[in-house]
Amino acid sequence: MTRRGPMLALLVPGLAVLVLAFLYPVAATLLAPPDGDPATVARETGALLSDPYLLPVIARTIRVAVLTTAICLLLGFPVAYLISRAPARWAGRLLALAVFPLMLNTVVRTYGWIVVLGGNGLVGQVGAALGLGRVQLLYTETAIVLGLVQLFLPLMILSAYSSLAQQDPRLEEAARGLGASPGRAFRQVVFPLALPGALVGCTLVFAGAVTAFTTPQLLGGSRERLLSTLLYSRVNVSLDWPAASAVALVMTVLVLAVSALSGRLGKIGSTTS
Amino acid sequence: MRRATAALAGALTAAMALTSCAATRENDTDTLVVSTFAFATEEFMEVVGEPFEERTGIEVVLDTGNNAGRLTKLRINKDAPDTDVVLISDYYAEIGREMDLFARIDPADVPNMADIQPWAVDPDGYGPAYTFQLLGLMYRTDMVDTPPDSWDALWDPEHPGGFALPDISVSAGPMFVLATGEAYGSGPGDAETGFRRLAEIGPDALQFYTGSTELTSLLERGEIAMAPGLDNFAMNSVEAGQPIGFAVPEEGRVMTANTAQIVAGAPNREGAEQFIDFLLEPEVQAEVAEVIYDKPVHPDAAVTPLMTEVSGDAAVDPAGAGYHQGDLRLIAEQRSAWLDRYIEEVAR
Repeated sequence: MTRRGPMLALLVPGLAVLVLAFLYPVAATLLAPPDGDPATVARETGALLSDPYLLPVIARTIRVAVLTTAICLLLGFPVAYLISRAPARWAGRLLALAVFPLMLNTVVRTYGWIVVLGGNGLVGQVGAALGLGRVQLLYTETAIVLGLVQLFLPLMILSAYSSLAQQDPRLEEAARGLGASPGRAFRQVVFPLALPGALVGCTLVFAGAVTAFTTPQLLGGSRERLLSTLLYSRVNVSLDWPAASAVALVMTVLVLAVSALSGRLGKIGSTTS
Repeated sequence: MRRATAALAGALTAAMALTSCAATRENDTDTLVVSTFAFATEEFMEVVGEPFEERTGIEVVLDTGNNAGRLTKLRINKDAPDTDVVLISDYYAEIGREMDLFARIDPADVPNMADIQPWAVDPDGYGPAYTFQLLGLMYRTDMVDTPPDSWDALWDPEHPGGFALPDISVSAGPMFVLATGEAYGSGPGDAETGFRRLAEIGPDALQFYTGSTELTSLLERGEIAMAPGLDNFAMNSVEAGQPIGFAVPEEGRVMTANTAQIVAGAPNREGAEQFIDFLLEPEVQAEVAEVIYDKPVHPDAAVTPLMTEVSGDAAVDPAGAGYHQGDLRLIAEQRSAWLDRYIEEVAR
């Protein structure tokens, strides 16, 4: 009790800020937006989940987020591994380089992709030179995934690095010394030990990919609508707040589900390794 | 535990003190809160805000954002409004009116309303239009042989150079539905024909643009040869000597206006009236035209040469050139249905 008192006292200010500035407004907008009540939101959510034109939007959102997460893991984990095993004086510089995309304005970065992917852009010109005709990658799902991977790769690298850097490199050496191939040492020692970081990275990238707005809006366009761009239209065009809350609710559930799944996986991983 | 409770109570008190600090303004005649577009705000202060402050001694505070965001804020603060004047596009003004956010204006309190172009005065007595934008075809002068003189150019099966269409989320979107209905259907309210005709060309459009910069960027990089757009989008490009032109179609001439509304229950109602009157003064309108490219509605305010270069006579007298606002009530009522229809039928 004597220890708990100060602990609680230290927690309270932060909790108060979270509750007042985060939980309350989020709950209020999700469940009782302006001109709406929980019943209307529930009805709109039902309509969203049964509309044959909107279900593909949900499916596309999940597909894009899963693909983005998988590609980020494939590309980001090896980079994080190499940085964690690089000489200390290089690690800092390499990390700074890896997070550089985070420091660019999203709009600038996205317009860069438009220049590369457009019909008259780099990809278009290469396609024309190869006799493939007018290659139009812009305004496709591929373009959205490319843009999101670039945007969120740093998150994956940072999260995986934080786990990998804490690992004692001698564990890997010991495995190799006991006869494990490099691949087996990686599969059975390095990766399981770095799993918590990789899972945090996956959760962050997935949540980011589901909620990202500028990138899908500019690279995907109106045909490749995602939940985030649908949410934007409902808030900004139809000013239909209950319908917008329904979209936000689906997005929140998606992100929470994946976050719970990754927590579960992390536990399984830590008990089996 | 007791200490923790005390800390919680302290935090709550502090939070409540903070929220009540954002004090409600009541009968505040020294300041005027103007909600406006987050575009050229410095220039706006220079040619409107500061001269108004000098004349009246009322301090002008800008609250900026897009149409929908600002309308949402007004709706949330409906019971204790902290804003006096709202500069907002006609379509969002109509939605705001439905929500009872705006007050009617007595023409006697805003004398300049008697002199502006008649269409700019609201028939129901709400705030007047202070500028307007024309829907037409933006095109690449070097990719299109003759300037398109009709919306037909978009239905040309060849689509030389490709084209883009406005997304339903930008004001040009619903305007284009109405313009198409008017040009090919029974008249200005024939959205049915509008949607049917748009569904024919939707699949061929390269992109449904969601902002003016996106559209000008597509045109400037030559990704498309033409797109329906507002004349204001073309002004920068034309001024910079880019090969971009703006064509006024023969039929289906729809325009949109920006209006100045007084918030219902505004803390500084009199200041709001003065501000709108000031905004309609010929000298101020001319200055705004020069600096922010907003076409004037006061006949005595000079239209800039750039405006007539882009839009021709319609820049001076839109109503005389056959331009008119869309059926705002229809667009506002149908906004959710149109959004869904656009996704399902046009932007495929």
